[in-house]
Amino acid sequence: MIESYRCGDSQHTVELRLRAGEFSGEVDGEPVEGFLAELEPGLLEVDTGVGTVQVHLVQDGRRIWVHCRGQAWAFERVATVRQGEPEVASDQLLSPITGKLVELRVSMGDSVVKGDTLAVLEAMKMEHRLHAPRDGVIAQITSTEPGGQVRERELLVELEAV
Amino acid sequence: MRRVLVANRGEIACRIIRSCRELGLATVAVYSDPDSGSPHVRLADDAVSIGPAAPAESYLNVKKLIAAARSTRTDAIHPGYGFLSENGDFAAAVEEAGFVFIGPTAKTIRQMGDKSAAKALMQAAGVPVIPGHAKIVEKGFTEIAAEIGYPLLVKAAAGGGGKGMRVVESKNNLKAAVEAAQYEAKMAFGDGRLLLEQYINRPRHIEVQILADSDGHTVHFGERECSVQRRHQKIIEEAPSPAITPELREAMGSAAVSAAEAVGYRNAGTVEFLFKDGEFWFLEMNTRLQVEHGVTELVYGVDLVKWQLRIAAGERLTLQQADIMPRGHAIECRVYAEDPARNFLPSPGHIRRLHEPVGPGIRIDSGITEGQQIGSDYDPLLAKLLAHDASRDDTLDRMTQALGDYVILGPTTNIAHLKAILRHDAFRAGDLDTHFIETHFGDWAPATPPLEALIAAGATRSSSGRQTAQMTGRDPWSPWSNQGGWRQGV
Repeated sequence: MIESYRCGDSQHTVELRLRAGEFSGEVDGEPVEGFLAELEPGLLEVDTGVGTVQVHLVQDGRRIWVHCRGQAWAFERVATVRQGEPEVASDQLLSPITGKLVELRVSMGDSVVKGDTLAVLEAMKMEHRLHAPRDGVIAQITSTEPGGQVRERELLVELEAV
Repeated sequence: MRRVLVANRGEIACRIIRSCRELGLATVAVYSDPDSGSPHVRLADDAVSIGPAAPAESYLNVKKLIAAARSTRTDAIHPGYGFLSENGDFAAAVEEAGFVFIGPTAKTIRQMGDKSAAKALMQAAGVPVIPGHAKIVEKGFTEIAAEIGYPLLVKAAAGGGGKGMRVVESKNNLKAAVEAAQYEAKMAFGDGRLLLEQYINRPRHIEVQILADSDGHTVHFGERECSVQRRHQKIIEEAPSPAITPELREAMGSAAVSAAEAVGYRNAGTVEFLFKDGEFWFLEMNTRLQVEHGVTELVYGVDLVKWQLRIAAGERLTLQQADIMPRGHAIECRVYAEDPARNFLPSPGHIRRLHEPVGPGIRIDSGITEGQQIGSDYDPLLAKLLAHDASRDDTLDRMTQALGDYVILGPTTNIAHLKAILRHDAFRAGDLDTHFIETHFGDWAPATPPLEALIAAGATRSSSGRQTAQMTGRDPWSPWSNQGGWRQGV
């Protein structure tokens, strides 16, 4: 089965067959084979033919965290077949952080000018301001009241489509 | 002095508790609701709940802290850094309540906390200062800004640690910068008043550690190079600075001692300077322990926290300046739960795996454990990784290895970014200024994952078809453990 994994802005496909400590398959369309062993729960040894590498691994549902070759990566397993990831429209302003919504400066129907501060957030004592990406009219706002918590990637403000 | 309450959290609370224990002092931790399971709480002999997550209702709440000290029959209170550590009213309240405040007097804290008064004092003491408006600015920002000229710096009068500070490039940005700085200063220090001064472009940030006893005997422990910063907050510090000659060390050290003596300083303190082309200017004095005190401890073989405790207990500082000599090189990397590829946004989360590097010359001041939830209520500092070796080059190599061995899975951290900085030619050459990150790492992104990472991720859903049921629970998975026959010890 081919699986897709998103890591930051990049996406990768992996198809793997495991048998008795050996693996074979394809990563990003390139054939791979080698040895894979579990040293202890959450600690693997992977040898793709260029020497063994230790890999720390933790999984929670679709999310996988890996540390190997001196660095950590977070993966999210995503649906396999699709016509490219749908882009987040610039009409939508998502919260870049999990934190407190300090202030919402607009209401539905307000006209805004590019660069206007639409919302003020706070996390870990740092203030973050969200600015209008373009001129427009506010089509939707979050139901979270100022003072409430918002989650990362939660929709805060949407502009009317042009 | 037999029992010390540590009015702080995280790595610094743990670090202070350890020194207390070495001196045979009993310790009391305080904690807010989300911190109830934190390492500092477990490490202390006693712990007192001081309220909800919001700092104003817990770590910044003087009444609750004093009540906690009373209820545990504490003798002294150590404020750590941040929170109330540079709050004169807190120091006064502690002493009025009959406890020893482990730090300078309330008067000294207020003198140095009032940045404009401090600047005037320093100028009078012959310490070089940055040109700017002599008083706190409350109105007429535009006129005063025009007098000073652009670019200028807006900074919190009560400030420290880079909070409530904005560079203003032109008149157009002044209003927004003032608003943001006021807001941040109010959040961080409960005081939104601001100072305006000339902006010195691309200086180094170099600071001098001092220690003074109650009789005014004051010594310095050389400098720390703290130029590598993001959002005006330090991320890498080292000692000695590659830019400082023995002559400059002597000059800056003497200036720092004069600064401390001018305010009758007692306890550990840091005099921060901006440095450019062999010239230095007083920036501020931090009347507390610094986050980065560890690099000085490694290079000078001193335990600054133990000295803080001894001085607070009335002991004399027995060290003489002539005996204080640096040995080798030390560096500190601050490990934050933040994403350097997304403008250093805080990245709260659950620490799912934690393996710390070990080895000769490695020190970790950590406030986290595996399984801990890193919330969004406090500063995202997770731990400080320090390395010490004979030369700067050896120390950087040691640190690079240690960063690679530091496994923190769950929250996004800045470890990969730190490693990239350590490997950068300009960093290796010691060519540093406070804009180092913007200059060299403005568009940094982590490397794409190596093949082994993708194979490990893919193995969680391989075609063996039997792993899903085994992937639940604390020991997340063991898809192959029952299959036998796979290679062990390759």
